[in-house]
Amino acid sequence: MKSKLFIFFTFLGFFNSGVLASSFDYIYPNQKPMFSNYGTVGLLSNPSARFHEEGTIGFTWNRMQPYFRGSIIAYPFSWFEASYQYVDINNELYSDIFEFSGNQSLKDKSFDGKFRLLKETNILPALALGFRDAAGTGLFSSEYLVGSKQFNNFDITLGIGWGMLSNNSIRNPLGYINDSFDGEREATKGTEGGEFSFDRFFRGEAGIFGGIEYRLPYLNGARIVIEKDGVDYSKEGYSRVKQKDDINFGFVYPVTNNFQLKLGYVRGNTLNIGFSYVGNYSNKNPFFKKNDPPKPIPKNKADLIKIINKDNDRYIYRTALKNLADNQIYLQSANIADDRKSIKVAYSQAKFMSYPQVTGRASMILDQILPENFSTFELIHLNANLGSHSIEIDRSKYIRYKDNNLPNTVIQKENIKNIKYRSKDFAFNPKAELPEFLYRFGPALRTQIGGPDGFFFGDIRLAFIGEYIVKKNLTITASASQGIFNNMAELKLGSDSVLPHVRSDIVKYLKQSQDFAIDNLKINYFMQPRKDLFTKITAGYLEQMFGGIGSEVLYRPIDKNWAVGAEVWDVQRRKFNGFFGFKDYRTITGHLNFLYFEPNSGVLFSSKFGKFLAKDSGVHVNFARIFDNGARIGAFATVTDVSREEFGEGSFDKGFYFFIPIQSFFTNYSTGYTGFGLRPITRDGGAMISNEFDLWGVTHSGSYYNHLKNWDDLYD
Amino acid sequence: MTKVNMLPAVFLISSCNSFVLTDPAIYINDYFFGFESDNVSAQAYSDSEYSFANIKIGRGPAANVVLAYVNDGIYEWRSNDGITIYTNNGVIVKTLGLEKDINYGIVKSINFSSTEAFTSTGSLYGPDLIKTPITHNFLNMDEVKLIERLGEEIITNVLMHEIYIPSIKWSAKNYFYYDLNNNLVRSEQKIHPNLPKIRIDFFIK
Repeated sequence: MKSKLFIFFTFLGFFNSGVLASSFDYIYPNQKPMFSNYGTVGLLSNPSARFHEEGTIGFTWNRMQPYFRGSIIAYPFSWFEASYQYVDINNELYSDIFEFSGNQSLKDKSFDGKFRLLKETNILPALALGFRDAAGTGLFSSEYLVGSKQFNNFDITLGIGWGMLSNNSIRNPLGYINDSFDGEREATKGTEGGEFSFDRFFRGEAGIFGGIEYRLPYLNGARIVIEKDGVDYSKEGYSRVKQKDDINFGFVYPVTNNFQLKLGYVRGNTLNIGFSYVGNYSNKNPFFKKNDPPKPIPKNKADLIKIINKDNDRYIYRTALKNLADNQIYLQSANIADDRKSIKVAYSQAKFMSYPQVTGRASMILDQILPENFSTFELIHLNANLGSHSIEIDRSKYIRYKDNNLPNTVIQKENIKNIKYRSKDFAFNPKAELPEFLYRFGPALRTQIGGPDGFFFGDIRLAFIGEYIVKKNLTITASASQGIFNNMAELKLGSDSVLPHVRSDIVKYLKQSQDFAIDNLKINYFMQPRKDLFTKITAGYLEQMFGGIGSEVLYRPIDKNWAVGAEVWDVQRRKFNGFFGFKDYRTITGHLNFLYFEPNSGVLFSSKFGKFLAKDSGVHVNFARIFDNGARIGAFATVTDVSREEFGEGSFDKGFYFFIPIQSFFTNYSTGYTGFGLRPITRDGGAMISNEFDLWGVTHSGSYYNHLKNWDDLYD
Repeated sequence: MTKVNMLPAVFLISSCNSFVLTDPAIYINDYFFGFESDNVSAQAYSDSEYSFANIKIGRGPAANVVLAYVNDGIYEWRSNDGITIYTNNGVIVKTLGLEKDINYGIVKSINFSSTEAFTSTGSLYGPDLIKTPITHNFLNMDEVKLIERLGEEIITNVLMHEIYIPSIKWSAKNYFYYDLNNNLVRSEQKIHPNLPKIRIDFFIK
């Protein structure tokens, strides 16, 4: 059988060897790598050394009895693949106690990671080091070193694995270096999981695995897969799974470059189906080109305005106010210099994520309305009435480089200055009609996934989000929601936490606020006491579980890529029903904050040291890769002075998230994000207050590095 | 963007609790049933000083391009965001600035009633397929079709341009609609394997 397969593939290889490199991509389109049954890029059961592009986020689902596996995969870098899986294990009950989990099958959560060691070259294969189930219960735990090399329309993978990937066993080659690698690999089944088991990695027997992807010509990139299964099914999972044959076969059909269907026959006795979807959300326009151009003043009208404005400052202010507003840029203050050569304009807006884009559009309008004696525009972008910086635009340069779209020649670092915005320094401060009430409605979904009561509980709600602007820097914000449909009735798991129940009573909050609930209702006051120093006070019903009062202070030199700050909150637990009452638990929580943005890699590192909601003390760290379009992929962890036993399942607080700018999906510009965040398990240790308008976020768009990153948008 | 790509995008959005539902709903409606910019009104036509074309790529919103030059029978259409499309008697023979560009390398003037099948040497870009033979065939479909133009329905004759690229075994059938005065009013062309169909309504002045 195996020799026949060899002849078959050799024949196909010769048959296709004449394909020209330039036509290859058309004959074999949709070449994005396929996903294995274990939810990461690979063949069927085996991993490969292939990666998707950085910024890619993917979802896969696979059925390979006794496992149903759903995965979320993210590529924060081109060299790193991270994935999180839920596995439904059909041949095992969630627990032996019927009253606890009924007939529900076992659910397992796991985290996989893969690092690229070597990029494929004409001679060398791509090489990757990977970890399966690295921080879970260890039911599928394995490590591997794998290489992949493409020869024409064949992609050949060969690797060595440890743990569950040691089916075709050989002596552990690391044992030649150190005897300890030859020893028994310690089992972790039945532990609370959640921690990396470094002392088990690369221990015990090793095994060889490999396979071939053969791309079929003129068939939309479809491929046949054959592999020698590296998984040792006698070790994997809880109950032994029979394996009749270790040669697996599969057929993958890419419906599009992003969506693949898979059919496989594995272990010589099991049909396997699956699908995957990937998207690269890090591009500025991943789906559509934007069709939201600036609205210049018609030339004949602009010429007329210039004449009228020649000797009249009042007209200049008024025409700037009106025409900037037509571009959804709202003038807050303006001042014309005594020599009438420069104008300083402070404005706010909520349409564009990119501040340079607003700078460009504001410059366009000022250029159209100002007499020729004005040579400089000084622009101040306000957010929550905080003006962190000003940008000086040389009018002649702005005009000169516009047609050739050369924004980098318009501005240098010295044109961006740290400032403290004070409206009294300006001659023109149009009176806004305050207070103003803004609101919107939208869908909301609350979920509880993977508990013993059932795999998925959802609550579809209609959410109201409102903002009452009392003063420019004083707002009352509110979010409330009304339940429409939910399946929460069967959800009953109570908290077994020995710590104060600051988060683990989530089920009570979800169930008792099923109808109408006030998610938050708070007053926010922002200040800028001096240059580079920002403060905020917030009071009210801060979030679903806590209310109280808190303050944050942030020192952030806007031309630097770091910030330090502090926050303190005096909070009390809210009642479960989502109304106004409080429960007895009250605490003071606070942190010293340090944030650092590394501009070359686009990584934001943030840390919080201090006291958490359950009165535990420790540190919270958060890493996020921020892409040029604002999309971010990140992960966080919190370690405090509570022991693993006190913390319970999961050992310590951790999770991941990704956010995508909403404007990625549309032809218009807009602010705001959509996304997904997940904490594998909700426990009380390391819990923090949800600080919705944190000062780093409020000031980030105005930072020097953010300007630099988006400067190409000046003429957009 | 294909339908398949759209669905996960919508799914992601609807799971967010701070998003206005009406925005995606309007876009999805327009995506499937057409955007306002897809149709040129009689008023817009009469207001325009120059010849222009209304171009719709796939299901995206249509945009107008203006006729910038006519050179040896090649019409050069330009958009305000840097896209240039060259047509030879309505047949797109070269593009610049599209997500995937082409240059069919057609040098002779095309006439649907008299041009016989021929082979040109052209290129596709994104990915690049340089100087590959492309065969062209022109057929009169002997059928009429009603199309909506400037707010009214008009009768058109349908002609077809068949393209075949043997090196990648790719072919397309493109349709051209002529009014009863033998003016080209619309074309529907698939010019690149990785681009959706392009519809062009021509408004020559």
